[in-house]
Amino acid sequence: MRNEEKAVRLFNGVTGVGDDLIEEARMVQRRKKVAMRRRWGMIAACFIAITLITIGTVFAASEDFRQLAISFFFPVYTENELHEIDEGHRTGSFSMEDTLFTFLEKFNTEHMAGEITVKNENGFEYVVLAQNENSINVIASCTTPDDKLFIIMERTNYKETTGLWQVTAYQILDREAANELIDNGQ
Amino acid sequence: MEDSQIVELYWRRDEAAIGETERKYGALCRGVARNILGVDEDAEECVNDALHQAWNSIPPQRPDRLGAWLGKVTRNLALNLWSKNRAQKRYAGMTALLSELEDCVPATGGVERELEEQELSAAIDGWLRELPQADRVLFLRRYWYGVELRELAAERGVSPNRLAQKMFRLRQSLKNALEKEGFTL
Repeated sequence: MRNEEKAVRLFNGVTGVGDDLIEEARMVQRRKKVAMRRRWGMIAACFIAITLITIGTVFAASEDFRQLAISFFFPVYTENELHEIDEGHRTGSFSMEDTLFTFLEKFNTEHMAGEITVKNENGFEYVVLAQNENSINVIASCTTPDDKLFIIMERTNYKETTGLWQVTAYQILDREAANELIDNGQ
Repeated sequence: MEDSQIVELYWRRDEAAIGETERKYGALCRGVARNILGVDEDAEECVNDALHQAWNSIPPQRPDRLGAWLGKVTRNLALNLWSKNRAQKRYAGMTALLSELEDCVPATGGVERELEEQELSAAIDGWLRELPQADRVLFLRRYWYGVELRELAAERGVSPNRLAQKMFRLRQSLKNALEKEGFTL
């Protein structure tokens, strides 16, 4: 008899082993799978819990993280980039308007967005959006009617004063996106 | 549904027996057939034939463990299909299994007696029961359920090469056990 024929006989021999052994092999594997699934489920649950606690803590503690999170989950509707201003370059003032106007003048003189400049024929035209004690968003009109300048301003603690207002970021929006923000009162 | 309840449906000639069998053991049979044959449509044909055979065999049979009984029927049908079609189709699973099982063929020499199929099954059964549970389960998952070596290796968190060596030692152990009893094939 050829070896293959003998192997077939062995195959048949294996087929005929006790039913209890066959069931045992199936049940042991099934128990392993269930235990593995439970283990990974617990690991995933722990990971999610730790992540949520961490995010919550950082969100509460860090203004930068809040801005980042907000801009991630509620992106501004434009392809233009949000430009952040480095901390060393932020001019600050105790007056929100002074800070805003200083920035807008600088925006125009330094051509911070190329050809786009902020309208200033009879003073700057702007709308203040969301406002709380320490941060506001502003939309300023530009000389090109389809463009708007979106500005984020924050007030940081300074010694024993009311705090310094600073522009922390800006972005060029199209008119449609800007109007949507104004309508939503963001 | 418990196996005994499903078997009772067969005995009452209630066609719900087939649906319940498919629901409980369809995946098992399909897995065994697919592992052995490696061709989906032929595996499906095996499963359908196994259910058909269950309907025709129960009664008079009354299997205690329906899953194992169906698995055996499926294996036999898969072997038949392999014998019938091997000239036209390549059944990769079966080819690999038979090639490995050749290692277990006892060497000839001395006074031997040829084993009837039932005796062979009893001899393999006896050898399996002597093994530690982990080795026994491993052997059956490979040579009864037909699970591929790389899948078994992934389950155990070892490399396929390492597991292949382990399987080789098991096959040698079976061969030695058969030779020790003076068996031949």
